[in-house]
Amino acid sequence: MNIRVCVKQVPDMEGALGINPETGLAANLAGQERMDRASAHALEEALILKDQDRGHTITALTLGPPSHEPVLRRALAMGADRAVHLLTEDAPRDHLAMARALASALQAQTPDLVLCGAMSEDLMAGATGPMLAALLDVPFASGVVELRASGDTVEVVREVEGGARETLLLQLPAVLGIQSQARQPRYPTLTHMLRAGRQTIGTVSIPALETAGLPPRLKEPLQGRAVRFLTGAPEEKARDLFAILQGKGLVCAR
Amino acid sequence: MRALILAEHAEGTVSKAGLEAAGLALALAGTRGDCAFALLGKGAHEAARELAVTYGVPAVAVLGKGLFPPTSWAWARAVWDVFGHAPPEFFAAPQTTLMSEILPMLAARAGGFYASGVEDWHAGQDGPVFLRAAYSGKYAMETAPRVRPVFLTVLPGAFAPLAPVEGAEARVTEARAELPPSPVEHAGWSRPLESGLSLALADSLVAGGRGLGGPEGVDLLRQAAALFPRSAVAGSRGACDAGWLPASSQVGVTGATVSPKLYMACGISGAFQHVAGMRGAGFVVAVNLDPKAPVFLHADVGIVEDLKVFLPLLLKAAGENP
Ligand SMILES: Cc1cc2nc3c(=O)[nH]c(=O)nc-3n(C[C@H](O)[C@H](O)[C@H](O)COP(=O)(O)OP(=O)(O)OC[C@H]3O[C@@H](n4cnc5c(N)ncnc54)[C@H](O)[C@@H]3O)c2cc1C
Repeated sequence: MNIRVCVKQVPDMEGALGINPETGLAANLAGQERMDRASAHALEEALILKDQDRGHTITALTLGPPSHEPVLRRALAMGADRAVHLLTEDAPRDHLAMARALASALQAQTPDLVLCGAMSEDLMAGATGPMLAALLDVPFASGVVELRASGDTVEVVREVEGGARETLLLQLPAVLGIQSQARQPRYPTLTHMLRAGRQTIGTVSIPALETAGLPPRLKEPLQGRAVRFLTGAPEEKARDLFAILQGKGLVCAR
Repeated sequence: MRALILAEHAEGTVSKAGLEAAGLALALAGTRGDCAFALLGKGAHEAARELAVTYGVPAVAVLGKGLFPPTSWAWARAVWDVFGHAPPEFFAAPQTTLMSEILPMLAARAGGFYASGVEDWHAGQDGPVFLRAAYSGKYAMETAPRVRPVFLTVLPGAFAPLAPVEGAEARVTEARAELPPSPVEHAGWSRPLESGLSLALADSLVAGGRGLGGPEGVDLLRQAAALFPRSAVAGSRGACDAGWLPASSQVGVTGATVSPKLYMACGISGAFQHVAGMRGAGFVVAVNLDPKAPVFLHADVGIVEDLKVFLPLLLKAAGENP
């Protein structure tokens, strides 16, 4: 089976973020970027399929500027067979434009299975998978936590609201949105790392993309509650918190 | 019609989240007569009648083979089959698993604009501007369409639900969708491993996230939980995926929805999928190393500390405080 995995490089969200005035997008102030977690889970599922059947070929695909090459090296180091970089000038942010670029790259040689993350950590939209499926005119399922490929179908278990699980049978080719889950994405192995460093990455230049939306603008997030930050030494904060909770009758009576 | 509302329905009614999407649709369209509900699949007629009578919004029952159980493949096709020849300006739906598949599929097919998890909107110079979370919730993103139609999924809990109106019965119509054989087959449901019953019954929840750093962190949560009455330990998807806590203790859209008197979030970033499950808590305390963690936007008291340092100090403070 010919498996494509869409992987994405995102700013490391743990550290301090700032807005890049040129792109209007957020960046890690220390320049730290990494593979999006959902992408990593998608790649892991492809690698598990390959562990079971060495006949599968896994191609990692990313759409982004040249600075996003490390995410493909990482994918190769984790065990992807090949990598293709769809080169854009800036980090893409328009869902339709991204899906169209990916679809045109995939249409040339329609893969059997396309795996995406259910939702990326940066744009948090979960749009690429379903849009890609619609453009390729193939079935789609999101929230996927288990998959088994057999013949020309894939059986998936996907999570929905409240944690209930739905089993679906999809005819191949299909696009799946992979949900994060207990099977953690593997670490690169030394042999794969050595190979990844040498391997050439295919590149395709993507012309300036026509967008469905105006350039997005980032703002401070909406506040749900008026938070009061406790101050002072950690011991003081602990005493204050306990007193607050006690005052509200929220601690065990003793 | 300017705005079409898509919503799942059961036993003739639409969920609260569906009515909230309708609330946004009405705000965008202007009048109830300019909106319409589209109901698909089993029970579509009953739901359409019920909605038209209760809310004074026209409703279309879309009938056809293969619409039940719902699949995004069939529903997206049916909607486009019926409404695609003269699409309204806006399509709005609650941000559920199914609708989060259907709306972007439709947007791609229509060459339209898609925004997911819409939390707020305002009228800009060139039309509506939508607000949604991005970057793990550390920013809100304003996004505005350049093209039509506009396809939206609406964050549950963000908008007031459409209010009923008396004596304003609207029209119910029927449409038929012709669908080719589906390449997607629904093969059954299973319940979550264990229901979040003990979570739902607890008055106090001490919850941990990826910031626990490992199973040792869970011990700290347990000890802290012992300070509070009728307490239990809960977690984010991050902590459950890592295997430090069982999946049954997960709070959020794909876990339990809880409303304890006290919710103490330790090492949880506060992604909207998590917040959706604990928004109803009485009093919220957040402990996080990162002062910019979005969890603080949903907390009453915030503590910027390492939970591994802070929780032992809290236990100590409790010990000093008989
Ligand atoms: C379809 C879908 C459904 C989802 N459903 C759910 C759901 O039901 N529930 C849910 O929770 N998530 C859900 N998620 C995942 C959600 O988007 C987040 O990825 C998840 O909530 C993150 O978990 P976390 O906060 O534990 O981890 P992270 O986001 O990694 O946050 C860890 C936090 O810990 C802090 N930290 C680190 N070390 C320490 C320390 N020593 N002391 C104090 N703080 C520390 C960090 O600053 C950070 O803020 C869903 C996602 C999708 C796409």
